[in-house]
Amino acid sequence: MNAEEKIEFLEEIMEVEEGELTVDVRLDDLEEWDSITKLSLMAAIRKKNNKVITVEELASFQTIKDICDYLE
Amino acid sequence: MMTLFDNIAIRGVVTAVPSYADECNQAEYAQIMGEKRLKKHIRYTGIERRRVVMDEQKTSDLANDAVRVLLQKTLWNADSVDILILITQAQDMLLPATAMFVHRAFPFKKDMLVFDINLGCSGYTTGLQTVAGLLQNFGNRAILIVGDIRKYNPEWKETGEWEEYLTDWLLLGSGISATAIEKTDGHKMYGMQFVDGSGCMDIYKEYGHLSRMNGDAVFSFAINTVTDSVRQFMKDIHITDKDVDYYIFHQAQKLILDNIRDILEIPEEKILVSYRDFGNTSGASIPLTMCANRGQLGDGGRVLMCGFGVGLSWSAVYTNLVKDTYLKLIDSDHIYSYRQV
Repeated sequence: MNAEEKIEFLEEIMEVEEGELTVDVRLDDLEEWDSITKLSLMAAIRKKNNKVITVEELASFQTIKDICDYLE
Repeated sequence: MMTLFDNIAIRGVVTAVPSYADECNQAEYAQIMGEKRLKKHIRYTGIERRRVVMDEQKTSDLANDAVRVLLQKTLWNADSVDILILITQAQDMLLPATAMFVHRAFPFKKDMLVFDINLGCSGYTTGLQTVAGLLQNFGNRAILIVGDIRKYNPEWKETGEWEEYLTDWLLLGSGISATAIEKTDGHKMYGMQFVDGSGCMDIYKEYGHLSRMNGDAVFSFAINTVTDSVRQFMKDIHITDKDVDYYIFHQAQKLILDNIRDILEIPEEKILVSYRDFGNTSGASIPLTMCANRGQLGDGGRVLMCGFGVGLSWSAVYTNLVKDTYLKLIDSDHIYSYRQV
């Protein structure tokens, strides 16, 4: 995925409007970053990249950029 | 660990649920979670309502009603049963074992094996293996009772735990299931059993507190560890998807079940579910799903069941459900008195 696709991918998972997410958004400030979203992200990463994201890796994400850096 | 149990068959399954259904989409819950978040929660979990215990109804009350119907329909005399095992994490009392209240309620004999096991969502598939193992040397007939009950407590609101617990509360339903298992020539049961004590605090409940769950860790466990084990189990017993008519997984929630199905590439029509109307009923969720889908299972079929959860503990059973296995879901609100024999 390129940078744009990664943002689109995350917007879809977080169910926010197109263009609402930018790389510098802090996850703590995002109302949508709840437990269901985290689980959806884990599942989507497993499906898309066939990669298992650990709970520690998930917990280390602080910004949208952190997730984008992780995504392939 | 994979095991083959010879000459074991399931004769009947009855699941008792309290009649009151608690809707997930209601004002009180929306007020705490916010309407948007609540709706999203319901959409992802797929759980719209759960049965909830009212008043003083306890685990043994539901168990007794399930056993009563099971004995009637299998035409088993109570005194022909050699083993009675009850698996719950909602014991009636700290002691005695809840199984003793069931033993008292029917004319069971005294020379039999009766005890409780403390397990949750893996309880049914681990219980089937426990019973199947014991039946190799001990008696011919067994009743396995599995399940948990959930009761709303208004006092929760006074504690700081309620808001955090609410998302779990919206998953959890009440149900107690009773299964008749008998030594039967020629019927095989394959079992797989795993446990990982390092995850013992991923789901826990301390005395006087509400249960707590590390959702991320449990989800990761379900979609990674559990699916890997099921794949390995099928390989070990030399079966493929063609040898399975129905898959019955623990009804954790839709998000988990959809992902398990996706990862194991299971055709949608082969997965039986019951979570929408009954939620996650812990150990009872597999037998409850069997009863709720009796239309499909009426002609029997080769079933692969897999329970996973608190422990962490996960297990699976592959067996041929014989035609005319009695399956029934019943509503039960009866309360048996403890002081009366």
